[in-house]
Amino acid sequence: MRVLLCTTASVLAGLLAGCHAAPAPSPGLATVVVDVSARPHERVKPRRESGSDPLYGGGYDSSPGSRSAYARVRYTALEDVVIWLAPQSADAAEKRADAVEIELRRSKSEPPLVAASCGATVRMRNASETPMVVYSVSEGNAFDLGSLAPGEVATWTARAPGLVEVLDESQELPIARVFVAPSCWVAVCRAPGRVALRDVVPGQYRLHAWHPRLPGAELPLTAEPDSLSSADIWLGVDRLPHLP
Amino acid sequence: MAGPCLLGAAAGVACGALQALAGASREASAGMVAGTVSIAAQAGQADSSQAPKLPEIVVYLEPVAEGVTFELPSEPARVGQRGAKFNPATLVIAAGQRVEFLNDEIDPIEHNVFSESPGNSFNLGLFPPGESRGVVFERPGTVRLYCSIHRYMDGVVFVAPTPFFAQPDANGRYEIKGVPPGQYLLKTWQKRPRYKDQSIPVTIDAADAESKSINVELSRT
Repeated sequence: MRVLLCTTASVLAGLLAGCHAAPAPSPGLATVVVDVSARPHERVKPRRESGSDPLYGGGYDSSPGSRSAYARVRYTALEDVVIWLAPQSADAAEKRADAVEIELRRSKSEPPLVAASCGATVRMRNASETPMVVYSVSEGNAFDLGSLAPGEVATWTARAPGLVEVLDESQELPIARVFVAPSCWVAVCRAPGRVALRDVVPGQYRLHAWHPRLPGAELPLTAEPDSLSSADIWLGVDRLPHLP
Repeated sequence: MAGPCLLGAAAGVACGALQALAGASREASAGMVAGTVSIAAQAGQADSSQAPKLPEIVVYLEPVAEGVTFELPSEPARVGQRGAKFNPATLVIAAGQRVEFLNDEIDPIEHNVFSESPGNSFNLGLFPPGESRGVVFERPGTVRLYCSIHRYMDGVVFVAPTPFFAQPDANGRYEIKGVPPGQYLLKTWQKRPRYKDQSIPVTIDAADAESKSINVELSRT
């Protein structure tokens, strides 16, 4: 893992550090740029993810949309990684949580993951052509919005950290998935790559990465005023205790 | 002694683990809890034929007192991995029980088994067909299983606090046999939560010869 810091005044230094793609922070605040990656088991070479190694079912289709039982985890294009900053010092004061908007649709596959902060208002609109009975029984975030007519909007306030599955009475799969983070600086990285958390109050933080399937990670991070902080964080099964 | 209660492959009213624990010395004082699990009718629902399907659910007993111990099945539970699928996809065991994960693929395909579930996180590494690796699950709760290689290979172990659990049949009926006298909470667990889980006090008296009848109604609110 790597944490770098560069000031906005030092453009050249920022370019060298790889911060050039990050949005500049508002005066007195910071931008944190996080490079997210995922690693397979230490014995699995990256080529095996898309290659033809028979040890891992290499003869089967592993393309992004494949439903083959042997389709492999796409470590180089992992989706739904949630990144957030947890304040560790009094000076890293929270700002107001941003509102989140979700379009509710029935689907035969898992809906995309949306991130929200604790305390955020989540506006949900029935984007289907028939009524939906919208509710959740997720721990700490249970709600019942009743029946929503097509186009109707209802709101819910995210209360507890964790994954919230929004359900419709007539569908087995969730119609929305919301990860509630205990932080107002939260973003979803759709594929390993770069995600930026903007206008971070200067101070000490723990940077967290969470994924629905792979073990997450965290590391310390300091945000300085008028600076771009850059960090690398990776997810992988090798983070877990290995049982012989 | 019978094996653990395996769910998913064949739903039954009673669990093997419970029958196994109802030994001769315990028969005289053990009780039974039985009943039906149903979904509460919702507003606008005209008749019972419109009732939603019962989700994959487990009914189990949790002792009110702390530190109560129960006899566990001597044989470990087993989970296969053929076809890049955990089999059974849902396994219910009692806390303290061992589970053996067997790579029973026909082709030489390796698998990994790991979980990040709180209190029960582990990583068994990669292992080839014919090899088995085991885990003892000490902490009650839901353990989500994954393979770090195969995208859709996932399963669930529900670790019940006691060996007294059952999976309702297609009509929602369940039976939990061989329950020692004591105070319990009858609780529900859903593989994919769709309704609020229930918790109902139950007392099994030493003199109880007949079963306690407890019906459980699930609702979204």
